Amino acid sequence: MPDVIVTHRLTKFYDRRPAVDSLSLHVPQGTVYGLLGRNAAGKSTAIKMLLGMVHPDCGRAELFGEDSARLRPETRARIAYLAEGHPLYRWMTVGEMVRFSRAFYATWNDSLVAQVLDHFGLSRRAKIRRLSNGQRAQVSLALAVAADPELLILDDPTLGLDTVVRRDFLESMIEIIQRRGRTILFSSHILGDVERVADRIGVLVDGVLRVDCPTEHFKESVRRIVLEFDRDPPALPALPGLVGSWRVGRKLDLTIVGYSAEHARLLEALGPRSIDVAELNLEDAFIEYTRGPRRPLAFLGEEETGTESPAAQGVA
Amino acid sequence: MLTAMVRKELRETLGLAAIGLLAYLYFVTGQMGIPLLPWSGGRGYGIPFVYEAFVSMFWIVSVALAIGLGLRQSAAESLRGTWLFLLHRPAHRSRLIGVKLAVGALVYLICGALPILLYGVWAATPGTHASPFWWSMTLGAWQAWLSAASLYFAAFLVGIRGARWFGSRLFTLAAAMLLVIVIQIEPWWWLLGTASLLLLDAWLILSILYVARTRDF
Repeated sequence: MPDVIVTHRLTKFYDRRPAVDSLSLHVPQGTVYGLLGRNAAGKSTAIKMLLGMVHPDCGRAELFGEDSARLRPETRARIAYLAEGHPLYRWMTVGEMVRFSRAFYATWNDSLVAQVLDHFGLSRRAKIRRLSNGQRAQVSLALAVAADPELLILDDPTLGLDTVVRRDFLESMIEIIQRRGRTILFSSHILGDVERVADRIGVLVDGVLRVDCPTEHFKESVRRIVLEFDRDPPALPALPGLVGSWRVGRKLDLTIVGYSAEHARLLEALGPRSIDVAELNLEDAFIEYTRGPRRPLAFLGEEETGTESPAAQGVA
Repeated sequence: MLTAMVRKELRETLGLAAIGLLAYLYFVTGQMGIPLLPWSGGRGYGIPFVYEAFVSMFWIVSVALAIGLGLRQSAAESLRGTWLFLLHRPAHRSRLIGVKLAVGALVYLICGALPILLYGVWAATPGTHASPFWWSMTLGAWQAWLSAASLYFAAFLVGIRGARWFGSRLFTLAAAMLLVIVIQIEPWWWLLGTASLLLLDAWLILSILYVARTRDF
């Protein structure tokens, strides 16, 4: 399958700090790619750079082999984009919004729009400003799919939606995905959404793509290891794939990507009383990956707690 | 695409254009001695167009309308976040912005020209006032009308420019205002002044297109 999205060392600075740092990404045709990250991790900036809305300070991005900064209208017509917050013209009715959007496209599936609006129970006469966040998201989705795009880029499409609307929105999205060979890239910080829909994920941490792998692989490769000692825990050796470490009394709580026999050997050499290895679900794995070094809660003050910076943050 | 964009821009500027037109009419009908509102007086002020305050008042209304329209079309898209929606439509960015500018400028020019023509036709009609009238007496009003058009483009630029602080964007408008005032007092206005205004407008339009192409949305 050819790559629909390609970025090479895409970088953007805001206030001299990198919002996106050397993002290199390949998304093949037909992939549903979930871009994960905490708030301000750089997801929206990365997506805007993909669409030529933000100009990178260095690096480049290509959609369908075309430079993102100079997308031709014909190429843009093949791409649907749902911006964060679903900005629409609030003075328009749903019907006017549909008519306005339709005017820009050579191919427009009116019956699909009608189906989607009908599915969500949206009236064409309803004013956009009177719609809830969820309903605006639904209108945006209807507009996005009507032009039969080959690529859908959705920036946090379920942000601000309640659980039921979110589930409904995602199910509709899955239906759309199942149509031939569509590629979808969507950002989110809701793990359940990503787990349900994406077959590949990327995790952005402070603008850096720390993970780029199949969703299942990510879940399988992250382990939480708890070492218990009879004495104060010793200093850790260099552990490849160590994402986080957390000392609580005589226990050492580690998160490691790609846990292997080599890791086990290195940890046993520390002489712990016990070693517990546990699998993490996607949410825990994501939290461990993205939260950075933990700080002790000073106001509790009872237990001696310590923090060590991650020795390495590998890409699973 | 063109029709949809024109219709959208007209709908978005309609309210402001109506307010501007009413302000012009309120003022002009007052000059004509025909009160638009029962309490607005409207006894007439002597020689049409030549009465000293006419051009100043006309200029003030024109400037307010021009700046309002420019900001309405650009800053409102920024505030609502709809630039992302609009600029992702499959059309050249310069074309989208060009349609916006063309509609906004035309709305301003029509709104400003109508009251001048109305007042001129009234003044040219015998028996309406006790003073002479030549169409050349309307030149001051046309001058104010044309020069305020530059402020429409300047306001649009203010709205579309990216800046940390909105106040710093207003420097563009302040600079344009200063230039327009300087141009208005140029000798041989219809030769030098018009050429200077057209140059200023061209520079502002090119700046708008450049900013639209290069800024981060």
